[in-house]
Amino acid sequence: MKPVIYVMIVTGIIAVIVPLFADLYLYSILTTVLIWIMLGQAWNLLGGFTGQISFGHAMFLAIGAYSSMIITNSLNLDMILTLLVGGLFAGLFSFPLGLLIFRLKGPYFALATLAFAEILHIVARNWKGLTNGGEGMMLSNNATFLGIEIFSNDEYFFVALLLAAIVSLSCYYLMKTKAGYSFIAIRENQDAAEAMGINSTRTKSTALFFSAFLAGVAGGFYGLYNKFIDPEMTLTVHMSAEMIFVTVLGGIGTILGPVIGSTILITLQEYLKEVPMFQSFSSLYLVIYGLFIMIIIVYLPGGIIDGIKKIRQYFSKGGDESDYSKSG
Amino acid sequence: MTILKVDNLSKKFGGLNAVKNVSFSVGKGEILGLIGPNGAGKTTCFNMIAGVFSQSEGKIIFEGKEINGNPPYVLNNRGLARTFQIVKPLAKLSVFDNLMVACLSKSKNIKDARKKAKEVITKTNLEELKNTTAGSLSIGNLKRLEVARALATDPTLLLMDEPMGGLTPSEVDGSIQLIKDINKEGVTIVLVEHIMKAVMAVSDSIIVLQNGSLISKGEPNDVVNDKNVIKAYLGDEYVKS
Repeated sequence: MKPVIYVMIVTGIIAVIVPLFADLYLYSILTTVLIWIMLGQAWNLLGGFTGQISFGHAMFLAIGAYSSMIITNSLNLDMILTLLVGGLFAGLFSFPLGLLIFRLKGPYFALATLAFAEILHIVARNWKGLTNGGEGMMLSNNATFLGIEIFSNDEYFFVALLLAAIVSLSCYYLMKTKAGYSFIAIRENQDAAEAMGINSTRTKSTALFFSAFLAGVAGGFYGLYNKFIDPEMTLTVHMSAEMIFVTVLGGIGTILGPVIGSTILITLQEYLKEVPMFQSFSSLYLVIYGLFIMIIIVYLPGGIIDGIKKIRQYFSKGGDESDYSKSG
Repeated sequence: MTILKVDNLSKKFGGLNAVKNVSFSVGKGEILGLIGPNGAGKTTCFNMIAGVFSQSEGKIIFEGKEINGNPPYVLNNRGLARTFQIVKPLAKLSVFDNLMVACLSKSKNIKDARKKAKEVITKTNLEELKNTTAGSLSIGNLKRLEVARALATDPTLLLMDEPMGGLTPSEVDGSIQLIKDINKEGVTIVLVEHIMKAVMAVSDSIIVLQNGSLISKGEPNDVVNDKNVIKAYLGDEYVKS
């Protein structure tokens, strides 16, 4: 079955089944999961498939979130256009950034992305004319999606479902193209990739652009959904780290990884918040959450996808034509 | 017709002169053996031609144009491919996907690349391993994959850096045959190799480096009888007066 049909069927089933039992709280959890799927896919393009580990991807989320908020408040454009423009701003920001940071490799690259996100955090807190600083920015107009006004959690859920499906499919098909193969080649061995005619700087810039664009789109939706943003909601290290966690836990460098990782981690997070024992100590749930992530990373370095693959291999020894992008 | 001309090439690493005023040329369709003891400057020379290092002095002319300072991907797109002495597989990808990456640099689309990859896989006898992850191959097969990947980029000049290092005698024979087959298809080859049996079997001409300088060049039989070469490899006492 073609992936696009498979995704359409799964998306359709979720869209039909969820309204049968979901209340507004469940809708909010599911929408959060879908937002993190998008953010995880965005990070995965650069970190998972291209091997350029970014610790500062929240900067692209923030650019998308602030752009979308400002556009909706001032121009009240349709959400599709708003998100595309937000994504484009994030993508365009990636070009000068790439010129500076792609000179660096490994941990130095990762630290440079973290530093840039921190710079943007400071800018967002202090450029009150644009971002309203630490007080944050409220959504003053209701967003419209294809001309339909959306406001409540259930309405946002359906849009998020559609967007998450589109983002995941886009990543899947991108990885089937020449660019996708080049991303993987750079991750595996940059010298070998160059010797095979791949321009590593251009390839990494392309990966960063798509990654930033998708993070910008997801960030735009995140801002509109929350109807409020401030630097603490968008530009913290926690946001960047969470993108890494959902991807690594699910399976880095796979399309299904962020889907599985986001579903498990966000659900776990919400569940732990509700456990009475943890409510007495507001951050205690994070300890359990952190331990869970550590256990997965130690025992399943390839993520849950890798675990599933190992179980399948254990029960059926055999194989078909290999293709890296089939790994999720 | 000369496809590659190296003119007074030198490379300094700080105070060390790794390559000193080396000049040679390679004719189209020829196999040139580049030999010398360890530390002679073969790989440094090789890396300058392949665009990994920039030279301190001298010129490199490929197909009539100076290629000084061109990065490896530009040279590859112009028809100059290389293999690595220490193999660099795309370890997590299958053999087939390794070749797909290489084929895509010249192919218009995925379909063409897939077709080309299948051709190369047959030519280099890697069919049985096409679904095997490159990281789990034996050294012999990894060396073969290096050659296959270089071939997949449709080179006119192939630089092979010790393609037989670490191979068993039967694998060496297979590799010799592969080099001859590649050359028969019109690909010019510069071969750095320590296994003299292989160098003698395939080379049209040989150049010898010692301590960064060119000490001999000519046809294989002349070079192996050259006093300078015997001295470089075996020492003064083996030179017949």
